[in-house]
Amino acid sequence: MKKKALVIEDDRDLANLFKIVMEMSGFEASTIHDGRQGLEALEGQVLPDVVMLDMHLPIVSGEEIYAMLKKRGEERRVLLCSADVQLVERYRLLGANALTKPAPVDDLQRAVQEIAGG
Amino acid sequence: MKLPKFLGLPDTFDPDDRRRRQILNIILALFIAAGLVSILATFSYGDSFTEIIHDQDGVLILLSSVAVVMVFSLLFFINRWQRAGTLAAWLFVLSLTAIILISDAPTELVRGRGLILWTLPILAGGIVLPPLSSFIVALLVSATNMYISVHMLYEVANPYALAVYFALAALTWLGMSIANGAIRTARMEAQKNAAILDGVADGVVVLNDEDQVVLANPVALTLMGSGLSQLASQGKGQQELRGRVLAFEWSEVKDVGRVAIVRDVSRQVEVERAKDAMLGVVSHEMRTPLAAIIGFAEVIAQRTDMAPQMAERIRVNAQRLTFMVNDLLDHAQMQSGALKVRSEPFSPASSLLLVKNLLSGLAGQKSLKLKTEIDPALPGFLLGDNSRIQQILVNLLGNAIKFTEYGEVCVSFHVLDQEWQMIVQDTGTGIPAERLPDIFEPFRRGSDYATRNHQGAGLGLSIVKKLVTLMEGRIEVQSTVGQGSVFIITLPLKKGNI
Repeated sequence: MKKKALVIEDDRDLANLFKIVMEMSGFEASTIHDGRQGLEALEGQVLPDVVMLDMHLPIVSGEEIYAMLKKRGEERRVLLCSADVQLVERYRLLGANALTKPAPVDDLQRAVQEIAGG
Repeated sequence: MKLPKFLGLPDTFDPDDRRRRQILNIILALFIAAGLVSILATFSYGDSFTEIIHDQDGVLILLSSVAVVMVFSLLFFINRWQRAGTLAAWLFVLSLTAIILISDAPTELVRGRGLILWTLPILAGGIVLPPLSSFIVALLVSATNMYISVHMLYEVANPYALAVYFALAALTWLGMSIANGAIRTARMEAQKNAAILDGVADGVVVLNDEDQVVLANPVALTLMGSGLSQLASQGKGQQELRGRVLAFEWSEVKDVGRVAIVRDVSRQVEVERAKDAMLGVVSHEMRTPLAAIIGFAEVIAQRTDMAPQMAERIRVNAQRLTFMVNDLLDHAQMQSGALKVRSEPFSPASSLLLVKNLLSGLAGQKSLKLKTEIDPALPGFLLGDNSRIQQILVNLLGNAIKFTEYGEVCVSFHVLDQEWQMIVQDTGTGIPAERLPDIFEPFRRGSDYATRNHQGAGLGLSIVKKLVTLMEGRIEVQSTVGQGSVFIITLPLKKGNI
């Protein structure tokens, strides 16, 4: 069975791009465009194999969602994406999987495979 | 010179007059004191009152002391009267002359030891009266001498004495004139310097060698207030104080101490911070469309079936980046004052149609209705800057679509008396009242309140406002949270003929 991926990203072009990249890597992918819906989709549900999470989301921020997942001990499944270089560095130091936008598609695919494989 | 209060004077207009009257005060006080001491001394010899009265010398001294005290006390009070002018001083000189007249025998006064006494009124006059008065006093003294000689002694007046009196008057006049001139020059210099310091836009503070504040101009007092007492420990550099950022510069001045220049750099600091924030925001905002462009370019080879859509998204995001860069360039031009608008004939209807076509896709994506309306009374051609009008409309319409999730967005053109209006209305989230005054500031973006779908650098509205101002128009906004916003631009109506 295909592994599942959830893309939470408010820019529709990027969301679409990430969805395509996930599908190219063999995942079944769906997209959500704001933080509140993202929170609803993850809270109290079985987590997808990979969650691609944008940090700057409307209504509920990516940082809040990440904190919620960290409390559940499931933060390893998250790939954080942000255009904010310092934010990404900070989360990397804390042990998260994080990439800065723009990231080469190869890097995205590699990171995602690592998360899902592990 | 610090005087006890009773020796001081009410404010007179002329500082020279004031100085002379203060000196007179001191002299009068001394005479009064001497008179009082003399009265006390007379009684302190232990003799009874009756014994003193019977002693002729004692009576003379007592009476003259009492007279001196009474007369000079009167003069003292006259001198304190603001409008007295030189009255008290003249009365004093006359009193001195009178005292000298009765102090010795006539022959002594014009030929003997009395001669030297006559110099006193001349000198005193030179000090307590305006400089030229010493000549008048010399004249008075000479006339008195001549009267005594001719009418009391039946002899010719003493010419040498008279010559000396006038010479003395001349010397006194010269000396006092020079002194007064020097004082006046110094006073004017001081006033000039004080005026300069008052006029300087920065704060100037002078500290002496003991680090005490010797001088502070009004700006320094405003900027630092009571913080002045800690100025001595402040080094070169910047410091926040009372809500402002102040910059301090120091220099050493020989024989004076240290001079500090205090400058309010709050504005510059704010601008620097805004610039840094801007760079951060801009580089952040540009990364998203870049990520889309690069990403799609990378996968387009693997998903040839989606190539047309991907190519379109690459184009659109490249356009977004272009708009952002253009906004930045416009903003830079605005800052340097180089932004200009042209005045050429253009068709408002065509511009509106162009803008509508440009943005209908965006509106369609969010299932919003996009309406346009033109007042039939609007002339077919107007004078203005076509591309800038379109830029304004694209900006306002783009914002309206961005901030509206359901409903409609409407652009309409209206004609007023000598003006015409462009109105952009939406049924979006609206702008909170407290944010309304700031929305035309550069780098302001709808924040956590509304949806933050990549609004670019936040320069759009500040550029719109600047353009409208350059077109000699005005812009206003009305908004209700939860219901929507209306932007109204009013421009002068100039018909264009092709």
